Amino acid sequence: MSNQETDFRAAAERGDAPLLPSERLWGFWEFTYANSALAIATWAFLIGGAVGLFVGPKEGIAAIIIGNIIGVVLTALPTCIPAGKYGIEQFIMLRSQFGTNGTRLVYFLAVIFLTMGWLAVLAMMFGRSIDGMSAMVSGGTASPMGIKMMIAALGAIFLTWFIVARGPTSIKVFNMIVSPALVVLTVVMLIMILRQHALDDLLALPAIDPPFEDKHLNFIIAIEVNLAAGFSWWPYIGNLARLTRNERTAFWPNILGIFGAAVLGEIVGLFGAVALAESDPTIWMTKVGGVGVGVIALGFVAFANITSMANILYTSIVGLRQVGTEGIRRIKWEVILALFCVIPVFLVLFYPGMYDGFFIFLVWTSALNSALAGIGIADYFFLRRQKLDLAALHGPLASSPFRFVGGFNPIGLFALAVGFVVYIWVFNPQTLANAAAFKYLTASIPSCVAAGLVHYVLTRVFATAKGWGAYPQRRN
Amino acid sequence: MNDDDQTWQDEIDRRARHYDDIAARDMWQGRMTATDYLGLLALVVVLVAGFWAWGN
Repeated sequence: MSNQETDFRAAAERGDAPLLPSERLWGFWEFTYANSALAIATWAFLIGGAVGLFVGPKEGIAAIIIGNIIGVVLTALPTCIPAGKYGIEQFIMLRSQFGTNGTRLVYFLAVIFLTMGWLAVLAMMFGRSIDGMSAMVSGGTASPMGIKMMIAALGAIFLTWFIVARGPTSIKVFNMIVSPALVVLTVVMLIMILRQHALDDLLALPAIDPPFEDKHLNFIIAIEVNLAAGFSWWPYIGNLARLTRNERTAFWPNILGIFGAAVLGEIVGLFGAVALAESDPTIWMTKVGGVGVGVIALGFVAFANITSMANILYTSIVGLRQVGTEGIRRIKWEVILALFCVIPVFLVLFYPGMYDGFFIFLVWTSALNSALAGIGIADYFFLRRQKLDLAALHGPLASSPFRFVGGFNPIGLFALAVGFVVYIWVFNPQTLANAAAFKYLTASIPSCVAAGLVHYVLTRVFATAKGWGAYPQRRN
Repeated sequence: MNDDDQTWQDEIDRRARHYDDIAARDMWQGRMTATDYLGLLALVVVLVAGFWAWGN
């Protein structure tokens, strides 16, 4: 292979060009493993614990399965299928829906916001693990919002910056150790909980802190939290799927990997939370197996959090450089990483309560992610009939049919705004206030459908007439 | 446009043509078919309806 061919292939792997089928290496099981490794992270314990606040284990298991299967499928359809077909980078494909500059805006709203929030939450979880470990060893009392937690959380952010600044190889080493070990930890925790509680007794336990007397409403909120968890994969899975060989290999492993692994981790998080009447895994893990097991489990959770933080920080910055302007690309790698960590540091210092209400943050992200999934399905499957113009998507903006209006597709962005407003109108994540429809439809599903419909209808009515977006002519 | 830009654009066009050829010959390997989508729909309906009835 000549130097130029090697350079082209490296550029394609970075996402600058579509990967050819012969360059894509992952088969079904490789993608399933990569997916599982991403999903079986400590946040699954957190989400499971949050579900336990609203409903007992029986309803919780149902909510986890219902929410995740719908969320994961609706997210994988518009991201993984085109990525598996064309090997295209997810945010370059997004130009067909939002325009080049519109994609940058979406990236900032959906990816940067989500990643910064998760970095802060996982850093605080690291801090609480260290604080809980030192309290167990010294025989003292843990202080989950105290100065020790904050110093450890800031240390976690600094350590993550250091690892990611050294490049992807160091992250890969962490991943190879952490993913299988997290599966072991999950199974060990499950066994320890089931040793202390018969399964029937466990399933009959009540919720920890249900917000409403109406059990059905609490159940729907639990489903909504899990829909949000399923939709929260939207920024990440498309760019993994482009490494697979075809559409089927890009899609089906999500059901085994992301759905299966997340459900397993969440159910253990739910069982632990409800059995120990404590939604925070860094606390219930200290109670479930005594000092020895507790210290090992918390030490491992702290280590695993650094891995998850490194993964999402690396992925987001690679994406940011892909969609960013020349100015952003010129910023040194270490500097842009450090700038990205400023807001998570701020959240750790001034908003440590975010950890206990992290599900509120998670559900807010679904107001955007569910609408993005709806627009993606309408655009790729119904408007473009699964055909993309690869040359135009990768070509210069000036002559591109994806220029729309100054690089923004007003229709896609308006549909995104409609989806967001519909979500907030049906269900306010901050106050849990909800419209009557929420009890029957959830909030993510109406948001997804509304955004998709608005995008479809307005594109049919206006975009073709204005020559925007190179949409195929409608069949008669 | 300088030589590097033109060479890169040629590479993009080459890769795009590769997929155009596959589309023209309708030779997509591992394509999601109607059976895949119906199977997916059935899986989602069974899981949602089954666990809704069990858990609610």
